[in-house]
Amino acid sequence: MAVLQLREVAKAFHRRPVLRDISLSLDAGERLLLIGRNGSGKTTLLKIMAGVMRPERGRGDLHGQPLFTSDGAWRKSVAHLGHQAALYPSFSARENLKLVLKLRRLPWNEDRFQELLDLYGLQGRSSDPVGIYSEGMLRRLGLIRLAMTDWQVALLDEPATALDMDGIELLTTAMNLWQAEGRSLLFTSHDIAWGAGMADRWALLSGGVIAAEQSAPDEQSIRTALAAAALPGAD
Amino acid sequence: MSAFWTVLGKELRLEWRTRESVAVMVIFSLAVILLFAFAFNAGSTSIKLFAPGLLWMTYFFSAVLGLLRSFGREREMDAYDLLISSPVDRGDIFLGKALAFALLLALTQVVSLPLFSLFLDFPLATASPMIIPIFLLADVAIAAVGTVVAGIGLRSPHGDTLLPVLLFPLLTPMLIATTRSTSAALADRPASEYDVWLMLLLTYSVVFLLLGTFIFDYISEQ
Repeated sequence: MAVLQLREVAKAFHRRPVLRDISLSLDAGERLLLIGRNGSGKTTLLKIMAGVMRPERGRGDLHGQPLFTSDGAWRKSVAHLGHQAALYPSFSARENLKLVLKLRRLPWNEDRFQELLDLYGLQGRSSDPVGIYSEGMLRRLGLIRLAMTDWQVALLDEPATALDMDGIELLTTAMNLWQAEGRSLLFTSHDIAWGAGMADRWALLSGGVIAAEQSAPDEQSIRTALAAAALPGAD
Repeated sequence: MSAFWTVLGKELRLEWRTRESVAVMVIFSLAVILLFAFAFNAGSTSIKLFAPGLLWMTYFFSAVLGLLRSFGREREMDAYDLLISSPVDRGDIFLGKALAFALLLALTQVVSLPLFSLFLDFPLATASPMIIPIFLLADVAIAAVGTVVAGIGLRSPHGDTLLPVLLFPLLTPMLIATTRSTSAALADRPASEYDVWLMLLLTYSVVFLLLGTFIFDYISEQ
């Protein structure tokens, strides 16, 4: 059953259309890998779904609740992990996460926070300003942020980037856990082997539309689709 | 309204941590005071005539510098996305940011006004008590308009240029009203003589606070 549906979503920058007509659905507990060449609009689509960007056209719903409404209630069910950490560099991990939870009207749980710091290897660093964190540490903190908030759909933009082997294992475990809880994940990855292993389905974004989709992904089918998208005229 | 308090608290805590906006506003104000103190003779007729205008031009440019710093922090690490991807009314985000900035501007004035009074013979001690609401209303108006314009600029690659260019014409009527009211209050004239300017100042603050609350949802997304 579809948890999230997008219909005819379009977005342009400086009159250059990036997304022309995106229609997409995501089932409960499904992990969908969004693939596409650089500049195909993957990040833009995730930002639109996170409420950070506004689509020029299109509609959608999440659990039957309309998306892109001005009251922002739908954003409570969505979590977004973008290229950047979306945290205040002068604040510590604790201060940043407390702010996130306050804005989502969720109670602070210090025990849970400590447990997650230990799990993600950030123990002893919770009071440091996150501005001095490495990229990998920020990614780990992003995972803690997802683990501490309540959401139904997570939008993960290159979640494995900057993570070491241990970090990728933690990410993989977290994604498996979230799926087991019935939560849905829409993610991008340039690591095709890892992405194919983590996804239940892939969708190719090319020319501003979902050009192809396939269930039970394998690395070869993704490489073939990306190669076809790179051919002249594919956009 | 809980998001309003959360954002207000976040802004003040962030400023307390970095002290960037207030520092740049205070330093600029003090530099201008010193410049004028050496350029003019304190107590001369010309300085008394121009002092309220000089004062508010100083605070206008201080506010521009403070807003640039305050919204610059939102750009780092895409921190602004933390706010706008939250399930809150963006009007509350606007109000929290605007009122926090008004408080920071007021703090800058608390530090710099005594020096203005000292170096430029500004008759602050004998001024009408109306000077306090005039300053508070002006700070709210500058912060409200500034937050709207800086919010628009945050999503534009030319945001830093846009801020002073758009802010000055938008604030000109308010700056005239503030200067006239300040001038009259410093001379301890009855409020009935400048109530038109006070009304304009009040209207400006209320209108831009309401406008910002309603349009911030549209201007905060790219």
